[in-house]
Amino acid sequence: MIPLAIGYSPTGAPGLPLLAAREIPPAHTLISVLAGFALLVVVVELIRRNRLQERYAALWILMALVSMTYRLWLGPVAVFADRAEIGDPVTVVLFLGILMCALLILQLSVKVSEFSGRIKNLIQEVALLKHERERGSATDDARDEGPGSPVSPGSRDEDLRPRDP
Amino acid sequence: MTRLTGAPAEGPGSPVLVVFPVRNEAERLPRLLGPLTAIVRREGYHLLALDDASTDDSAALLARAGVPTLRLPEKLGYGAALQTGYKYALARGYRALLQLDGDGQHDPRFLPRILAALRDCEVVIGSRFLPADSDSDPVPFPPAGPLYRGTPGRRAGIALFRALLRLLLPVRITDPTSGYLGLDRAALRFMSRDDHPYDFPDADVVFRLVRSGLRVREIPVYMYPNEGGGQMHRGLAPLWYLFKVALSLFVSVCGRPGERRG
Repeated sequence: MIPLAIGYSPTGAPGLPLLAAREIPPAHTLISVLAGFALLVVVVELIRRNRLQERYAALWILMALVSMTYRLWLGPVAVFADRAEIGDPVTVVLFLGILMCALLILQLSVKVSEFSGRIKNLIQEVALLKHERERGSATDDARDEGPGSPVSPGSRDEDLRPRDP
Repeated sequence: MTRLTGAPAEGPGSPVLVVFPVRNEAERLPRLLGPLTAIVRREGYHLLALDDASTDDSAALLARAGVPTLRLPEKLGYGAALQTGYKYALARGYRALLQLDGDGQHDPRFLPRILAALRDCEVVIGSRFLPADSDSDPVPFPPAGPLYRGTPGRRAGIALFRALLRLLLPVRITDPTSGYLGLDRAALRFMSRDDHPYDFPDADVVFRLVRSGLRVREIPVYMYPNEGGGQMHRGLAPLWYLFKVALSLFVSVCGRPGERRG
């Protein structure tokens, strides 16, 4: 066996060749499966109660599945860590976790931008419609000279005052 | 956008709309309203105040003065409030829109000059940095008070973006920050798009206007100090502003989808 990297391993003595996938204590696997399962239950429950839409749940479910299958892909991760000369495969796991969180937050930022644009358009539309409605009721009895504006050439001061319905 | 009823026909004879955004300007509105309504009446423009959900007496002041007001139910910001006016002008078939700030910093006597300059271009910017006699048609009236060019920090920011625009654009723009504008329908359509800034349109928008093939022209205007105001550029806000406009400008230089290159 050719040592790919020298690093610390949880079960072996420091400085021994690292084969992380074979050395994961069962407790680690159990914790990751339980945590992933709990996340999955929470996400499904939120969808069931209509507090989370399916399309925003996808990344969370992916995260739960990744956590539950920790045991399966830690092997490749350990190999990658060795090749990339990262002493501890756990660092890679943490890094991937943080990257995943960042992706989720980016998705939320995109959504916030999208919704602020939609809300802006709605507020503008409401203001325009409200103005239209008020102007409509204000000019029912007299045909107004201008669109939305009583200010017109030659008009006197009283024309600047709002009209009675 | 749905066409609202009572729209005047589009064309050279259709009226011109003057808009000004109002956000808690109760103290500064009075000095604007008198001269503004006089000019609007004399020139036959239509007037519309864009009340960005003011929480002070601005709405009552506007109502008392009889100024038609479009009130936003929620605060949107300077750029988005003005954009509501652009959408209004487009829906009603106005041939052009003139905009000035609601705090009385812009001298409304320049409105007819801005409209006149709009005859051979799509966008007119009222610049506080061009001298009053720099135009082919010198300004026939003196300023009503001391002129204002911005705080030193603000001027530095403007100078930076002016220099950037000079590198990027074939036309010279001295005051990209100006809120004193004349816009024809093509420009209004451009500024009604969803990527128009909600807060403060600046050099980024000027760049995109020119890049899209619209002709932008500047004429000199008078700008007066903002009495007791200026709450929008305090603390870290100038730095944020600088960053935001620079980022928007950079993205615009890279090119946004749906924008044709001029």
